[in-house]
Amino acid sequence: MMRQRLLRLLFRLYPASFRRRFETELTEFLGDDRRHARYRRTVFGGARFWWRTLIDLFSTAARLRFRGVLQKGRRKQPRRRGGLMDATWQDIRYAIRNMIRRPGFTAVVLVTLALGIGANAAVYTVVQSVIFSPLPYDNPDELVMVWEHNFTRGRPTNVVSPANYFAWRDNATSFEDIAAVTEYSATLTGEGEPQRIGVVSATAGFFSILRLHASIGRVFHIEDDQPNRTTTVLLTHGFWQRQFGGDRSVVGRSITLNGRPAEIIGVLPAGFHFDLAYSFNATGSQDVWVPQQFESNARTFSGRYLQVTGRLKPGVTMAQAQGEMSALAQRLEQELPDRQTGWGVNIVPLHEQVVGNVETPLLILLGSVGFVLLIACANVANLLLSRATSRQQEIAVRSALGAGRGRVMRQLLTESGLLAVIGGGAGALVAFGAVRLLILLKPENLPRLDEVHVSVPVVLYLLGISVVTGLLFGVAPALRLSRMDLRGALIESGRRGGTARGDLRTRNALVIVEIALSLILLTGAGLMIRSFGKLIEIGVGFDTHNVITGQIQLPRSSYGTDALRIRTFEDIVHRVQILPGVESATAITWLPLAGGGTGTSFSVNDRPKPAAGEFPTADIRWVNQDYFHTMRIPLLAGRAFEDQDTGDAPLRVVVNESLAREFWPGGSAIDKTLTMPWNDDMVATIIGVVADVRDKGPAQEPRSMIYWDHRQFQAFDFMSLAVRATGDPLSLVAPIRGELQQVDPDLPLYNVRTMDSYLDSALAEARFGMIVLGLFAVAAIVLASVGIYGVMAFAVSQQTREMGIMIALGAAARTVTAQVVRRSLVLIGIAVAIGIGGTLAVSRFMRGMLFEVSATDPVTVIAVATLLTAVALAACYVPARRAGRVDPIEALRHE
Amino acid sequence: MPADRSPPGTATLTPVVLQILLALAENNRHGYGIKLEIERLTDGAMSLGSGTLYEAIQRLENSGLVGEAPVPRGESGDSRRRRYYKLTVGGRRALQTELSRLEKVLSHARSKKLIPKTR
Repeated sequence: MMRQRLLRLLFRLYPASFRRRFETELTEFLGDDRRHARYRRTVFGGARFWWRTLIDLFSTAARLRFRGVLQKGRRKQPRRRGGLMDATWQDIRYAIRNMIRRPGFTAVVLVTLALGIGANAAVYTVVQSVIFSPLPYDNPDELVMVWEHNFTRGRPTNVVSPANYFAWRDNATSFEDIAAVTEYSATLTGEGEPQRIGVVSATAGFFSILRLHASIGRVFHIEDDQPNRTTTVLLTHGFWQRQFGGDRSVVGRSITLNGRPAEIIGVLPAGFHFDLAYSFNATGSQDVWVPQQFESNARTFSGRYLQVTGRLKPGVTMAQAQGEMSALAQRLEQELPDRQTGWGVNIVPLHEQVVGNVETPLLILLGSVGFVLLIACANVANLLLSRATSRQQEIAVRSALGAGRGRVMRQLLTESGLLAVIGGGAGALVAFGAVRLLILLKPENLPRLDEVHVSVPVVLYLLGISVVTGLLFGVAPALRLSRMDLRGALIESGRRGGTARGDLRTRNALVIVEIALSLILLTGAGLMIRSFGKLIEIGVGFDTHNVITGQIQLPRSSYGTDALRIRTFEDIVHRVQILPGVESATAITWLPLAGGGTGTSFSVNDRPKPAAGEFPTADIRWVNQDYFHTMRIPLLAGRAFEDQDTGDAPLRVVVNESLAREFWPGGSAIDKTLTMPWNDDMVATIIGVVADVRDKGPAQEPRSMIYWDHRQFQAFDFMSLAVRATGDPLSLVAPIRGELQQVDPDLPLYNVRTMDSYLDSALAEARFGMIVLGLFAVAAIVLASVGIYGVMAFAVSQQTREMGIMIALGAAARTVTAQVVRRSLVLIGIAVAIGIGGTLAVSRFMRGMLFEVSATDPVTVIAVATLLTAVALAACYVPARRAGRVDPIEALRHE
Repeated sequence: MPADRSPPGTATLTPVVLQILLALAENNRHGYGIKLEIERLTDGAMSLGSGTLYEAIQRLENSGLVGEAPVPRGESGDSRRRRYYKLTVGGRRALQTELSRLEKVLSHARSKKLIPKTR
């Protein structure tokens, strides 16, 4: 639809008669062309289609409209009284002729503008789709997430326990309804190869909260989430297409999830995806939705894992809802001080929840790319100014023939406006390509990526910045020229006089702006690079190289007992360990960097028992005994797990350095005991201390961690293999799968990834910001160098005469060169000073994106200022040399 | 564009016009059909954009070389909305004139052995 509208707009370029006659056909033609085009499946297919179409459209429209204009004198224009429209047409034709007459100049300006405007439009497209546009649900402002607020650990968006969810649902009056959601993955069998699919489970009210209907069949009814019912399942549109080829008759059929049958009741609309803050779904896609059923014994206060979303009643404000829920939390705390002390409720608008994390970085990108456009404008203004100088005479003649100042200004602004509009058109193409590319790069952690598209606000924005750009770079030269001393210009006939000096002042100011803006951008990029360097330097606390990982899930239907599951996992690890090419192999419940995990509160037995709500907490992982060895996590004290630490032995744990340091600073943690208040209090002895692992990526401070040998407590039916290879880890995938088949042909190894790729993903956000800002900074510095080169070259050419005299009077070439360099240095110095001031003012917005680097890091600022000065000076070198080589005779001959 | 304003038949045709006339010589076609036929005839060497094509069609219609043809029977749906074009008598004559002119040029060139032998 967008395309149709855009086309109709573009067709306006054609003369009305042509448009009336052929519009329908043109539309049909282009539709066919787009469908037929053999390249349409490639990355730039769309962009290429548009490129060809627009070129064709512009050139034929120009031919049809300006046939007379372009063939100068061939046909006589009928003379009419010069109305406003006529004058405008005249201006436009004149501008087009001017542009064609100087193709090189026009090309440089247009490319600069296209890149500047295109990059802006691309970033704005993303910002608009991700941040500004409302979520694609009915009355999205009423939608919220409801979290538990963990005051002890300072986590305002903690997952929710089932009992709290029910307490809220039954007591809160601010909501139309609330629903509990979790996301995980499950094994689908009976449909070809067993495969791992992404599952979201939600209580029955979920879809009516979003006011979402199934595109086929129905969504959940209230009975669907009652315990002990046969499970129903909803397919997402993508999964329905992929797995069932879009077969509408699947509704009513049954699929097998984790060994249990589930009846397909409907298919969800295309494009529906619910971003959740926490997910145990490692497949990366949401494939099916199942009802979240709670057995009566599952409605516990401990074990927080739900994410709760709700819709406020119309007219209820966030503050009212928050007030009610806080009061409710306090009531619960009084009733159950053991469980609820230190816990509150926190309501977050759904929109903020989805985009909150990326809002600042995206706005910083938008600001940076705006800077690039400003620099581009300054450059184009400079180019136009140098053009203006050579056009003085032409303008003077026009003025002498009776063109008023306003008329001349309008003519000049029409020229710059036309440049901007064509630049904007080309910029739109750049934007199309850039957005496509961006979606391909798929930056992780960028929500709503599938919603990114060119929309009406984007087109308006594009139009807006084109016009503003045209004014920005057009006004200075236009003012300059229209204010010119007419008589002087005519008499001097091209000799440079007082106007040039004024010119130079304007140009100096433009260059100062350019360099100052570049400095700010460059500092931003520099800070990101330093920050990224720190992330790499600090690492994650284990060796990610040459490690291949994959998950295994034992269906409870065939692996019913703990003992059987333990034996099977051990068997698999042992089989893999002796494969050729394997250095060592192990298993863990939740891999570091992969997301997911669980924690526990605990108490230290040689300390007084803390009050309710003040128990310390730690993350907890169950591992195979070779875990630390395989991952190369250094053992700092005591010992790792060994053969004897089986289920029959007393409970033993290994803790990380953070935990040991917190409770036994300077002392030894070995042989101390911890109590974990589970169903029965579990007491475990610490046998070893290992180095910290940055489980959530290098940017996250490590937290207390407790490791258990999985043979001592096996509550889980899944584990991840981690295998360190002697060579290429990917070459081990097939042999590992082979061993797994030997154990049980129905076991898939899913989510196979190298540990390095997990690290890559953990660094993706920082890297993405660094690369994009870096690109902008490079663009800025190139543009600024061109700018200062232009200004110095201009200055030198304006003063050839003075320099000739200096040299004639005996000044050394070196002196003349030095003079130019000195002047450049003054310019650069002023610009750098302003730039540093600007940096200090704006870089604080970057604080949240930086890791262990201050936003005003002096090292970065000084390095960047030095670099920029050096580059700018280098750009002045050629004009400075030329100044030194001025031939006095040549220079003075014009006298 | 001297060819366009001269009376039909007296001057050389532009390559685009020649190809359009050729494409319509056997069958009536709609715009996109003409484009496809030209791509087939020229092995893809000439690929017309929408504007270029209809600009030429407008000129050909105005000068009476090409006219609108009835939509062929059996076409339905989208195709019914399209206009089909046919060669007029004048168009056919212009094409023949141009082709025989080219023929002369070619035989002249051949007699001078200017045309490289193709395998």
